[in-house]
Parts: sequence; C-alpha cells; structure tokens
Amino acid sequence: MGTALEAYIITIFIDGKELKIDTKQVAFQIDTSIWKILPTGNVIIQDPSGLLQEFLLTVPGTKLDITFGYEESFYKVPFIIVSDILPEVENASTNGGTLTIPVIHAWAFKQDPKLTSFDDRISGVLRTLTTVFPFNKVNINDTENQNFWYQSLKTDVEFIEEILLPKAFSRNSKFTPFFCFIDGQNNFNFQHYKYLSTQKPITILEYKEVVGKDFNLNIVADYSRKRMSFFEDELFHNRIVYGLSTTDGSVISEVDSIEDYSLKQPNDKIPYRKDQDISNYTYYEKLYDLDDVRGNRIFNQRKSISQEEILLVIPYNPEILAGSMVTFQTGVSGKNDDGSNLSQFSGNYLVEFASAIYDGFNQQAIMKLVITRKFNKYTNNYLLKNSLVGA
Amino acid sequence: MKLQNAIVVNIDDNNHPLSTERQKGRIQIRILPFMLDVPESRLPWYDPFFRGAGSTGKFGFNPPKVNSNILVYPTTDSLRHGYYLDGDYISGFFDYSIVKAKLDTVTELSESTYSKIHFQLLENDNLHFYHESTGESGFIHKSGMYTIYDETGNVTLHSSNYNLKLNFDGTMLFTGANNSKVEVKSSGQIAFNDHLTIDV
Repeated sequence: MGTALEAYIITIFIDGKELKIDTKQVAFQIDTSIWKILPTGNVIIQDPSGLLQEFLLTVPGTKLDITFGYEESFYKVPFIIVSDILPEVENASTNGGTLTIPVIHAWAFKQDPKLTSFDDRISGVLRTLTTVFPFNKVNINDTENQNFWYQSLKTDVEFIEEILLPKAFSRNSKFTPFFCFIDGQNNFNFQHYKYLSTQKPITILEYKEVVGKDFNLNIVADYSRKRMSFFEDELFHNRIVYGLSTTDGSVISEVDSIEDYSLKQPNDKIPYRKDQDISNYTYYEKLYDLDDVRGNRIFNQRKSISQEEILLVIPYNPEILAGSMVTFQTGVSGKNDDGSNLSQFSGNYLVEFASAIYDGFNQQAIMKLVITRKFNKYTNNYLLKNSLVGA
Repeated sequence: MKLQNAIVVNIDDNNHPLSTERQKGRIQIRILPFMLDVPESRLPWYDPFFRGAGSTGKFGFNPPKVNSNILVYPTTDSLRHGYYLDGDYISGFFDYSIVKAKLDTVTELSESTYSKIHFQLLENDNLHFYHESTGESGFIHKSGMYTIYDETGNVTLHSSNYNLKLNFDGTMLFTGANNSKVEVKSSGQIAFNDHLTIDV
C-alpha cells in the first residue's frame, strides 16, 4: 500500500545544510505520543561512498531536521542525532553502507540539570521553560498549583515529567488529567483530557476494502484492537485514597473510581464488568498543598483513559497528530435508534501514538496510529450492557 | 526520599508566608546542594522531627542555631515539606579536649576517661555529663560553677567563691568567702568556723 510519493515534500537538513539525496535512498520514522514529551525517530540513509560518515556529518548531537508532507500540511521536527550505526559494511573500499541513525527531538540537546526555583503556577513555570526553544506553537492549558517549585538538579524534561505533570490541577479541566507532549509539527502541548477529548474530530478514518484504484487518505487498510486488561483496570476501579489531616492528624479517606476524572456523560459505559469492591489504594501522608494532592490523585488515574485501543495503518496524513481526535468507522456503519453506533467499535477516539513512516526503498508512506477511548454508549439490545461499569 | 544535608536559615517562623502557619515551631532550611541558588524568600519551612506536636498539650521547641549544618528528611518530591532532625555530624566540630578541660575542674569527679563519660555540650557552653561506671553525674556552668551528684545521692555545689556539700544522711558542709564554714553534723549540731557549735 502506498501513495504517489512524488506529491510529498521531503527535506532533510543535517547541521543546517540540506541533504541532497535521492529520496529512494532514505527512509525514516517519526514517533510522537501523548505519553512522552520528546518525539523520537529513526533515519536510514544509504551512504555508499562513506562520505557522510567520513566527514562526521552523523556524529551524536548533530542537528537533523525532517520536513515531510504537503505544501499546506506537513510534519516538521527538529531532531538531533543520538547515534549512527553501520550494521554492515557494503562497500569495503569506501566503508560505505546503509546507516541507521536514531534521533530525538532537538530539545534534548538543551536538557542540562539546573538549580533554580519558581514562584508561579505550574502553567506559568511551563511557559517560562518553553521560551528557550523555538517551538512552532506552545499550547498550554492553565493550571492552579500556585507555589514555590524547586528544579533541583533536574533537566527541564525531568522537572516536567517528575515534579510538575504529576501534580498539575485545574478546575477548568473538570478534574481530568494533564498530558505533556511535542507533536509532529513541533508544537509543545500541555493540555488536559477535557480539552483533548472535546476537540472536533479532524477526520473520519474508515475501515473498508479498497477497490481498484480507489484511493483515499482516510481509508484504513488494516487494524487491530485490544482492551485494557482486567488487572490494569483493577488498579483504577474503586480506589480508596488516604491522607492525614494537618490540623489534628486524623486519617481522612475517600473512594474514587474508574468512572471519575474523564468527563463521563449520561449512558457512558466502560467495557469492564463492575463490582463494588475496593481494588487499590493511595496514601498521601499529610495533606499539604491540596492542589498538588488533587492533581496527583487525578494523574494516577490517567492511564484509565486507554480502555479500548485500536492500532491502525493508513496512508500518511500529516494533519493527524498525537493528541488529535478522529472518528473511526468500521465496515458496519450507521446508528441505532438510540443514537449509538451500529458497530460498538465505531466512534470518536483520541490519537495516543502517531508514527509517520516514509520508506523510500519500498516507495511507501504510511502512518501507524494508536487511537484510544474510555467510554462508549452501547445499544439497548446488548443484554449485558447493565453489567458494565457506568451502569 | 532520603536524608539530605541542609543549612538552617531562619528559626523564627513568624516570617512564614502563610499567616496560618506562623509560630508553629518550624525552621527555614536550605537543602544542599539543591537549593544553593534559591532566594531566601522561597526556601521551605520544615517541621521538627523531635519535640513535635503529636497530641494536644504536648509539644516543644528547641531549634538548632542559624547557619548550623543539620539533616533533613523531605516528605514530598517537591521538597516543600519535611522534617528537620537537628545537628548534622561534622567531625571537625567534635573536640573532646574542650569537654575534658571542663571535667578536669571538677575535683570530686573520680575520672574523665573518654567514652566513659556521656555528655552534652550546649551552645551556651554549659555541659551536662554522666559517668557510666561510677554513676556520677552533673552540670558545669560556663562560669566554672558546677553541681555533681555521686552515686549515693550526695551532691556538691561548687563555684570559685563557695563550696556546698549536701550529704544523703542529712549532713552538710558549706565553705564560703575567707574560709568561712558552716557544718551540720550527724548529731544535729551546727558548727560555725569550727569555733562555735550549736546544739539543735
């Protein structure tokens, strides 16, 4: 499966200079995800003359910028080279061969441990941290958590991942967790699930058989799916949360559940059998800094949004980014009288992972997406519907 | 979380940014090296580990000196909260010769061998001590005045100007200025300067 590759714009700059190379001699993959901050990737370049290696163009830390897409829409990510590997010498006289070059977003080059502090909300700290890098856009949802923040010999990414993100809280998020990630257009995103999941779907991805030369960017050639395992669900289902009062030392406890923190709508269900037993606990010791505690309580339920995951492969579509919403339709389309989809797997999903893959050797450009959702509405004909969480 | 080294910056939590958290026995600390460049106004206030406030009506306050090295135990990864454990051990500050010089002024003390004497040298230069073998214990004021109890419970109170020995059996000997003396004998007589004796 592939597309007319000549329609794509592909440019690769190494150390600021464009690599003039036949695009049939290069392949690359750009991986982005809402679960990690820095995009990563892999670039495969044929270097038959060995000159790229000889002239140190691929040493670690070298800038490598990839633009891949159409004139009006494209992935454009500044990377740095992590390493360069020559698995096999194909030309003994030149040390030439096919190089494999793992890459990571260029912000990694600026990740030095810092000793500093902030007096701000978490969203304000992030706005300060992101000023030192030329992101395309910086999209930050406001938080509460006004306090002193100590960046104690941590890099910016470590500071965000370990200290700020797990505590981020906003009443505007309707008690949903935050995600921090850089997408395929070099946009820095710090957004809560309410913002992400209420976006208008940018496209409809349709799983159907391709007939003849019928080509559509949004046709899903193949997909697989999985549901969260019972054991993972137990971690989120009916959790008891303990804390110690700072006023009198007494133990305070509350119960929350997998239905919380995710914008449950009426008639929403989770495909997981319900019971009332407590299945997990969290202990917060003394309840200082209540915004941090609220944020962390929500953050610990973050993975529960991935109840149903679908892995699908489509022709490369640069408009689809990690963090986008898409509508997925299986071969069975249409709606029931009660508004639910005829197929329970059709519906709106959040793009968790987006891999843009260009393979010049085999002349194809595809995307691998993992899309996810937490809730679904099931038709009234489903007799087991009332045994699900959410009933 | 683990124990960290810190410096005491302030022991008066009337300076705490939250008015509800003032006069709560906390001290302001700078964790090393993580808070080296943090402005003082942003440094955290830590709770006492000992002499805390575990129940109503029972709490204490005995903070370490400002600028002293202490150990702290952060309880949150934000480092904003935790306990202070009092003085950190710095070997250069531990000097037994200072203590021995004070103990040697106590003529009633049978011996002052290191490791037999348990002691606490306070920051105001006073010394509490206890001898684990002889059972003697006492207090030496920075002025040189001292009190010593022997194992039986006899006590001597001494300064450069007087000496008072109170015995468990009820006898007493006071020696004051110009060798003046008052003695209470076991017979109940009180003797003044060995010349005058009064029967009680």
